[in-house]
Amino acid sequence: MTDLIIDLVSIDHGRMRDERRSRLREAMRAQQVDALVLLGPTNVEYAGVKQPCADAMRMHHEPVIVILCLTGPVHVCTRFAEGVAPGDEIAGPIAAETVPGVAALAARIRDLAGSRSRVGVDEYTSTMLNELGLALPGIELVDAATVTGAARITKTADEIACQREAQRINETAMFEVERALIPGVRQNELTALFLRRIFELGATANIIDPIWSLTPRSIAAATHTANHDVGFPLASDDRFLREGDLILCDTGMSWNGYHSDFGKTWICSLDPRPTAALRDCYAQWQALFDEVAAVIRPGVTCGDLVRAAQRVEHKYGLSHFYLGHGVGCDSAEMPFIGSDLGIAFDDTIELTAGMTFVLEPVVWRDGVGGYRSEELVVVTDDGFERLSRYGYSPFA
Amino acid sequence: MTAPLLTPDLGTGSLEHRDRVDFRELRRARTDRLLDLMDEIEVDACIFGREANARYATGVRRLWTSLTRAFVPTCFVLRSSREAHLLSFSASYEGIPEEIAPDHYFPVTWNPLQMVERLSRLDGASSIRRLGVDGMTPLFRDLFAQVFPAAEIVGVEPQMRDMRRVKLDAEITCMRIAAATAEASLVAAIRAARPGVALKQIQAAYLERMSTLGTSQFAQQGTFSPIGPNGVLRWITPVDILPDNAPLALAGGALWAGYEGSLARTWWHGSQPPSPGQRSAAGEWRDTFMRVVEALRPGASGFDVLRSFAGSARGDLTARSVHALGLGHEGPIATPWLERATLEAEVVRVGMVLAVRELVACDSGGYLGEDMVLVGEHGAEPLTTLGHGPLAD
Repeated sequence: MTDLIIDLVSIDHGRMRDERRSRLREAMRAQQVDALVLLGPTNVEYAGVKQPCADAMRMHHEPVIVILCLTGPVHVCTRFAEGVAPGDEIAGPIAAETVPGVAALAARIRDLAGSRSRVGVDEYTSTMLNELGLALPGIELVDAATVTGAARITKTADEIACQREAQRINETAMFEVERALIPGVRQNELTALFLRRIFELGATANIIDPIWSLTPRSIAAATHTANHDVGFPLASDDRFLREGDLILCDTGMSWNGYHSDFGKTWICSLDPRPTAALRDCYAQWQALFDEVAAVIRPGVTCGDLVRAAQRVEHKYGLSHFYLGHGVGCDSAEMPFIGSDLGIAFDDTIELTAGMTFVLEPVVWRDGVGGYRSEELVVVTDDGFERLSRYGYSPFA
Repeated sequence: MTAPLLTPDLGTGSLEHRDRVDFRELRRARTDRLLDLMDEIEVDACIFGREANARYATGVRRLWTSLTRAFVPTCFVLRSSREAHLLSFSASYEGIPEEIAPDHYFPVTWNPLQMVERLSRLDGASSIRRLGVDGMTPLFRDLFAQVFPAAEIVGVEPQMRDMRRVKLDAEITCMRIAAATAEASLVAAIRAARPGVALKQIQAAYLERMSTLGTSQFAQQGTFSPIGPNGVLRWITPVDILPDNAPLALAGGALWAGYEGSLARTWWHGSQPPSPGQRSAAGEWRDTFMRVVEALRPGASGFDVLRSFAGSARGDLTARSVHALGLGHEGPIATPWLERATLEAEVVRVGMVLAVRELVACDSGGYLGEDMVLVGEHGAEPLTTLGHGPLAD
């Protein structure tokens, strides 16, 4: 595990910020965009600006807005001065959901980007939708997502080191949670333990309500679903977990802006022993993962990964999910692999060194149950490296 | 002065005699208010992407995630049929209110084209002339223009916010429970703190207590940081240790049934008594709070309320805020960063739940405090009542 220690001490936060901004500007030049106006917290984070983590409505009404042009200092409208890097231009917050606030934002955009520019916007508040275009005649407003998407899909070495640390914290916390999974524990007690541990270990934020999905062994016995597949994730109900319950867990937190993703299949018991049939699901899951993993290297497409999965298990996941998805400043971001966007879409995305994604196939046998684990990997020059290192108890 | 009974009949032991909240009735009342609003502003249908609006409109309880989500349609409400359809994250009917039938629930899709195609096939979709939304991405704006070519797409978040800000009685009950949860969690954090303890450990204590009390969903993940000289505060809890003789700001919030309870205190854990400057900052905070509460009378404008803060213009003025709470944060009413026209247009109304926040700076530190109040006909009633410990008078 020495690589882990070397990576941690080598993170250079200034370099990471500079490289990300270079990538954004490179994508802006390629797409002829003069300026970006970023409201989405994960885009703001990627642009090198920090803010406290909160419920969505709080972040919406106390917004942090970044205006990034091809040249010149990055302009940040925020009330959290601590989150702004040295050299950036800091301005007060803008109320992006009021008419005068949007007028002020429009004036700022015109000053910084020029009155005949092409400006990428990632999200419109309700009032921006009504007012911003009218307030900026001569300025073409385009979708910032194509710019941010192009920049964010491949990670720098510093970003990967951050992801490694996020995953390490998440996994370390989970060892204690797994031990606490005994009959009579309530779901929120597991959450309490998880939250305490991740923050003690230095997490920046928890980013998803931890999922401890109590999964019936057959679809018919389970809650109804819209697509007649296994219901996952189920609503967070603070249920009692009882002897033999099959628990599909899924948690994610962030460290320095980068998200982890952790998913395993566990059994609630003082002495968890999977049935032989359930062990078969796990073995098939391993075979599936190995088949996909053998394909991962620069130059293959996401479609190649899907075809590899289907060689082992035609239905490699739940109908409403995918084989895998990218992880970065968002817990699920491009590339989406094996989703209902279709194989033609998957084939348009070629793997390159530095892409990180989580593979999360599910092997389900109705009447038995199933096995699901999430494996975070990073594509390297000649293959891939696993960032998930938790293991497979109680199946292994 | 006798303290008001803040949580009447809310103990779990009283459950067999009376329900805390009739949620089915609450959902019906909220949906009715939305449909009345749609009549009033002549919107034929609404598509909401924000968690709080979708929950208000339909009662759907989605998987909580932090950070704002870029706009993705979550629910569709049609005025002519008075029906709601859900387009939710989870594929299961758990978290879905019983009055929404399975045929009004869309399977999850990652394909925006498929999503808008399904929307376009709903009964009544083709007759929509005005479509209300609460946010937008460039992608969905273009797709909606194709799917609803005859419809004008209008942002209605300000109207939703105005409606949601005036609370139903059942909503206030939910907020009393949320406030009590937030207080209990803050107390756990206060008790975990002492000089030499990691700030993250204090944050951990808050979140652990909140979860064991039955909610794992945050309103805010909280600020647990010492206040430096001249009121300098790092709002993002740092990986650091609480020094001796520094005021500790503690701010956090919990959601109960989606409704927010939040409060903040500054606590003194030092081995020395707090300095006179620190004491007077705490006193000034309390005086300010009393003045602001006095100003929170029905009909007062945001401008009036902001003026009532008065006090010295020192430290981080952007922390100064009166904002509405409900299904999460419901927008500022009085902050120094609102434009004058907005401040004058904001009006305090009966039934609002407001958070009052102020950071008072002093040479050696400062005082951050935040409390929740409910606006009644004759003024504001506190919903949070936690004391100020060593920094009390």
